[in-house]
Amino acid sequence: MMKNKIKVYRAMNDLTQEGLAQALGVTRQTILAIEKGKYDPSLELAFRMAKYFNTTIEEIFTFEA
Amino acid sequence: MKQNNFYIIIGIIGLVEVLLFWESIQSSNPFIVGVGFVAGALLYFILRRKVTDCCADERQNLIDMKTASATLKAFWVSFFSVNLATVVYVFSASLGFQNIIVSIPEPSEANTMYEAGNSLIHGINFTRPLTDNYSVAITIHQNATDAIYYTNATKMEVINVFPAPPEMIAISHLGIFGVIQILLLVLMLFIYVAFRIYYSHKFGEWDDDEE
Repeated sequence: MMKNKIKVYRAMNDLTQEGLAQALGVTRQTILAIEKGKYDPSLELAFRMAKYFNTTIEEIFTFEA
Repeated sequence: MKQNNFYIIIGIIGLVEVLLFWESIQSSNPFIVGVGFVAGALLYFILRRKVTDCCADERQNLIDMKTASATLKAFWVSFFSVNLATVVYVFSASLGFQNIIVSIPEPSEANTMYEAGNSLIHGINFTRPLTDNYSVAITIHQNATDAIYYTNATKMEVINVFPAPPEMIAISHLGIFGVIQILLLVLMLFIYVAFRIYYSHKFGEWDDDEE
């Protein structure tokens, strides 16, 4: 199962879901679904997200078996 | 093109398709709705590419793909089973459906008897009205090599004769195949909507925002 810290990074950067969605070119519902763990983003979106927060994918996403 | 304009045009195309379907039934011409549907589908795909304010991201694409895949799987099974049963039903009777065209020449005077040769048509009796004032009565004898026509028609008429001897499926039963096809199409729509709702819910389409 994939877990993520998007909500934490959003708070650190004072971003709303809508703001992050617009920055990444996706819908707000997609950001919401990723945060809730209902949708695993593609590798491309994960990279773009990590680049946007100026960190690594491993820092944002963690895999728990 | 704005997305709202796209939806309005698609609605109009849908209405036109319904009208074409109706006209196709009225005129007994399946090509009208067949060609009309292909044209409508092409127009839909062309117009969809011209929408500028559409924001379909990877999650929505995934929902589309999974819905289409699941619908195809479910529909394939139902379509295959219904069509197999239909094939068995049709094969349970004699084959050899064919349209035999009977030409009635213009009579020189009313109630003239004509003979037409080499028409191997099974026994069938019917009366086909031509206009309000004229009608033509045709009698084709069982296993006859010559068909005899009695007519007071003033025009040449071509009639499609659908031979249906008792061992074949009755013409009145053929309508059930149309009903089955309609049911299959409606079933496909319901299956699509059901899977669409399922996958949209699964991938958080209607989740509330806690912000």
